[in-house]
Amino acid sequence: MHAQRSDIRTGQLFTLLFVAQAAPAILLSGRSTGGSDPLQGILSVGLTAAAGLVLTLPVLLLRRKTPALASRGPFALLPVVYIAGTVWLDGAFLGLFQVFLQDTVNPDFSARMTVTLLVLCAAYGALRGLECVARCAGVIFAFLLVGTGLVLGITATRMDPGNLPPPFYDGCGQTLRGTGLFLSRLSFLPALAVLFPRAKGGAARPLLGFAGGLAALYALILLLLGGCLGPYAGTQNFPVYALATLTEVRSMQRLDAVFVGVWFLVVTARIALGLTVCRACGQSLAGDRGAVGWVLGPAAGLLLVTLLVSEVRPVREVLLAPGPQLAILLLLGAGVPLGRLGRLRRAERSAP
Amino acid sequence: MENAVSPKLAENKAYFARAFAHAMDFMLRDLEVGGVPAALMALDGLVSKQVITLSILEPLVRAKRLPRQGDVLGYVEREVLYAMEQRRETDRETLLTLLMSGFAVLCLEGCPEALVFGVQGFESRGPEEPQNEVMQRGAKDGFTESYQNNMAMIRRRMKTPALKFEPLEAGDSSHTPLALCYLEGTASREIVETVRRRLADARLDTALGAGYLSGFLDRRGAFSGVGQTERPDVVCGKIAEGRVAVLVEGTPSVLLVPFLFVENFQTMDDYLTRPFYAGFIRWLKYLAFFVSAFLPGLYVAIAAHHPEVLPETLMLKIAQEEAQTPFPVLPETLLLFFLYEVLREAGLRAPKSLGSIVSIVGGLVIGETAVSAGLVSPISLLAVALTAVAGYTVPRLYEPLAVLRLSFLLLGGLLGVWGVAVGFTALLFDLCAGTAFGVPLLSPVSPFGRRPVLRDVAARESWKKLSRRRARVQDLPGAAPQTQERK
Amino acid sequence: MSRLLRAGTALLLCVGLLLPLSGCGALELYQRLLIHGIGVDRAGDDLVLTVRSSAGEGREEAFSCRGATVADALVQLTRSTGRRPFLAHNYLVVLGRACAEHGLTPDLDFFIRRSGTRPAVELYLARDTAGAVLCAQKDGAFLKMSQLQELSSAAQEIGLGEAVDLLGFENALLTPGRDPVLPVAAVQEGEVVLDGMGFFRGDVLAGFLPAEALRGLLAAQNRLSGGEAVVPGAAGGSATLALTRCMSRLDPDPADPLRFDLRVELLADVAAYPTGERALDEAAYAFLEQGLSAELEGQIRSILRAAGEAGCDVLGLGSTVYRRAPQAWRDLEDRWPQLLPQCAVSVTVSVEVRRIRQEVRYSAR
Repeated sequence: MHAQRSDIRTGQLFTLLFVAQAAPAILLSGRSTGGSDPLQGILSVGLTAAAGLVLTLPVLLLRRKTPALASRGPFALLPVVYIAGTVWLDGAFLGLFQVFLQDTVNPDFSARMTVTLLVLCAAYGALRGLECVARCAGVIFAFLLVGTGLVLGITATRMDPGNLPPPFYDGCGQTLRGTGLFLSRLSFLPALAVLFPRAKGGAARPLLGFAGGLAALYALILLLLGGCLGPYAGTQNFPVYALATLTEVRSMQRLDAVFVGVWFLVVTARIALGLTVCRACGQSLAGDRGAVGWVLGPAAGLLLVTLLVSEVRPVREVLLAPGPQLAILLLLGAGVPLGRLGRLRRAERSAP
Repeated sequence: MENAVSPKLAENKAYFARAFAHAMDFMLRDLEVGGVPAALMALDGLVSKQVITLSILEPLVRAKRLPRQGDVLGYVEREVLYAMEQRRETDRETLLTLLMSGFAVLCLEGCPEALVFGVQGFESRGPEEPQNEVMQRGAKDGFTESYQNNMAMIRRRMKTPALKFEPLEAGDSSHTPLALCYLEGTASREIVETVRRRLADARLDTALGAGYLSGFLDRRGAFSGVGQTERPDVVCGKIAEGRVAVLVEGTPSVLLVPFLFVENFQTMDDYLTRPFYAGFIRWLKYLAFFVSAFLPGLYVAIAAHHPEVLPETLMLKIAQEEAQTPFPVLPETLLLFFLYEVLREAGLRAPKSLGSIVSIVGGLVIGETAVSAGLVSPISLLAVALTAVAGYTVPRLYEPLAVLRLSFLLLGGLLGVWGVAVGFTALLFDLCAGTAFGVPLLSPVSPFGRRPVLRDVAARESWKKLSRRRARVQDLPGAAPQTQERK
Repeated sequence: MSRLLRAGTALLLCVGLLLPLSGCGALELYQRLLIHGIGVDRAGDDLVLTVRSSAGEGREEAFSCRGATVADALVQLTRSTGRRPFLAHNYLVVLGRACAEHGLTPDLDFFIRRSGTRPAVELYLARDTAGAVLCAQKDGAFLKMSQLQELSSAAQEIGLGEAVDLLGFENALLTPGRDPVLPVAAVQEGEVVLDGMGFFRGDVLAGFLPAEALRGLLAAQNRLSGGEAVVPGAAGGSATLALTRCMSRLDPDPADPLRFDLRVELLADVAAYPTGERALDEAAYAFLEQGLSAELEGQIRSILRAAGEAGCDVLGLGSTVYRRAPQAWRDLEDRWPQLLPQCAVSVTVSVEVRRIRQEVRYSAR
């Protein structure tokens, strides 16, 4: 089961990160955008993309100087912090996804069992290695484009500009709130910090493509939510799913099950990325030994967090709170790399 | 050495007589060659007696007096005999193997070496059109059980000295001869070395078919990294792309490594028809593969868990039929698959004289009667039938498809479309992680290579473009062949 | 040990996944009540649901159930039929007049929240009761639901009605400065016909628009896509004009948010013209154009009058101010229903009947 550790190209890495970061799009709602004005939401997305690019700078600069995450001294236990952070972020997301399945889609089989199977499948991918997960994400990216494009393209025929509210009717508050909320969902930052050293090749074009593509995807979804669903979106817990239920092609009238099926691929890729990050962190601590443990252990933790988030309200409120999530993302995604960068530069200056 | 050929003829004769005691096909002819006692040995049924008589016995019997000193065997070899293929051998165990491979052995009194002659003359069938790889435009000759004939068929098509046939052997008891076939300068040295090593390390008592050896060359997983073909033109095309072929005596199919996933959809006809049609047929096969793998699972998933996807008319039909049949849709579809697999196997194994009865029983009795008796619904039967037929457009993938269908069927029946989605992801992980001799199994789709995909996966370029650039398997994206042990 | 561990893990997975057999207990389709039409009537504090479903082989069946809410009534339905309602293919909801007069928000809440329902489900308002509409029979058989469902979209195609779905109704309700409308279904001699539109103030029924005025409603909202209009011919008799394209624009007066300018432009073809000695000339075309534009202007004004007096903004005058002059809207929003009758709308309908210069000239014998 031990896949050989091998490098991937930056294009593959950013494709994987794109797929992982696209996963929360199905859970978008007024609560996650800070308001109901789609145009302000689109602005928030743009600002988040710009801020995200800035936040990746420490990681990009760090790659030139050091090949790995772990180091000695005060940074020795960092991998454990990254594992804990990843389990928290991915578990919270998966818990919300499970709530979405149970509450909105309401299947007649166990959503919990399906999510468990999803995590096991993701663990299998993580055990096969980063290259496997990255390649798989490339295929899933194609499915995401085709599936989402088809569904959104069909629903776009119901676009009505009369559904859009006047821009900034309630002020600019939503833009700022939305930017903060979107920033708190940038789970790709810690993954980038851990995995970027293992990617070969230039970063500028893949990074810009990643940021631009992701911003375009979210902007399009927000525009369609506003233009097709209009104020009705505010009556739904998960309006993107409601948007998908509008899909009809002649006698095929409910393609939302297929849409959710495509999203399952995306969510599996995201969880596989998280478990790959955990494995990479574990390997930086203990070498190549115990790869199975470094994947299955966090997977179990992830399932526990998912269960707590989906079943226990006080836990859900704490783990899904945007403030703490933003703090942990900024710390792991930018703060730690910045700290290490500073330390390395000081070491360089003081060297004879 | 204990097994060395003895200068005493009697000892050699006794050795072989002991080895082939109670073997009525063992022939031993005593004769005198120029006054020197000699013995000619062969196994009946493996040799051409006419060739032995004309090119070995007759010249030996008519030989003039042999020199008493010096290289007597050499004199016989050069001055007396007419055989094309002859060589010396000193090890008696090797001589045993050669006798069983259709060689004749001549031992002379006073010579510590024996002469061996290639006089194979066993019955073998002529090349026929391969039954499992029918082509419309390709050649109609296929491999036979004789690996030497097979080598000749390849050599006739690839008239280049770069074409190499390395002799190998497999099976401690069977000593099955193998030939490693590749184009020097085109095939990756690492792949050739890896194949050689894996075959040498294969611990088998008998190697009665190519399938015995493919296990030692293959990867673990649903999709094989080793291909098999019965067509010499396919082998030539593959080795021209840097692949290595393994010819096995007694098997009319040849192993090809590395074998990638996309090759399951490629046939010789694709390269003999016009590019636009070849591209159309490729996409038809891709679609058929997905239909064959996923249709049963999706049908059961949608009928059982997501009926909202169905158009209303179809949904009502399915509801009506479900009310009239005794089983839920998942067990019903499983039953149909079981019946289909039984019928398929019966059709394959039944004697030709009973073939029509199997068709009648399968089609009319089981199919039609089961529906009219209300045991199964026509829509389920249609789904299974479509799945089966679609699977035959990619016959190489039949085995993994049979397992995949069942897996997705169970996942779909238990966990709906999402179960199928998760299963599909697991399959993707397996494919994406798989390699065949260092070449990614999904290459050039993943890792993506635009040029190779456009060249021969998404479409098939015309031969004018294909011939401009040589494509080798080790040049595909992500390929990194290494001399490696089997994973 | 690792082999043992792997075997144990595999066994555990198999048991864990298969033992609950979570999917094997799934309901089969015939065990579900395949609902494709729901009617909601109010009877006192309770709701009476009329449910149409398919019984297979082309047969249809109807059920009635009662409950405090729509969800409660469906539970009673399960108790009485033994089948669980399946709403994914429910394409039509008919709301009784009593529900509309009471306020539709509580009754529609179920269809908005419930998973399995679609926002694209069509809504009708029953002239009397929804049960009468859904249970209408002709020659002893229920009317086909598929035909009932198609009534409003067919009416919209010919310009004599408007198809409204749940999404459209809720958006009209939730958008500031707009009030929703619903097509009215009535039973006439065993047949269900669409007879005008009901307009609402908020979610409460406020009045009816006659069927004859609906072309004007569609034209004013830029939703008129086809249909045929009968107008007097210049030589007497009636001519039929096929409407091919409609563009309308509603502009508020920048200086006065209570003044509007509505311009409608229509393109039509002559579908039928009364035969006579007089052929189609420029004067005849102008007569036809004048006739149609006057008719449409009259329809639009009658709608504005009827709805405006009830404080119902069916044309979305307020939403136009909301979108184009949001600052002005802030001051008017709370008083808009009272201000609506004071709105002055200048209506200009210009019709162009396409001249092809190749008209067939013939005279009747």
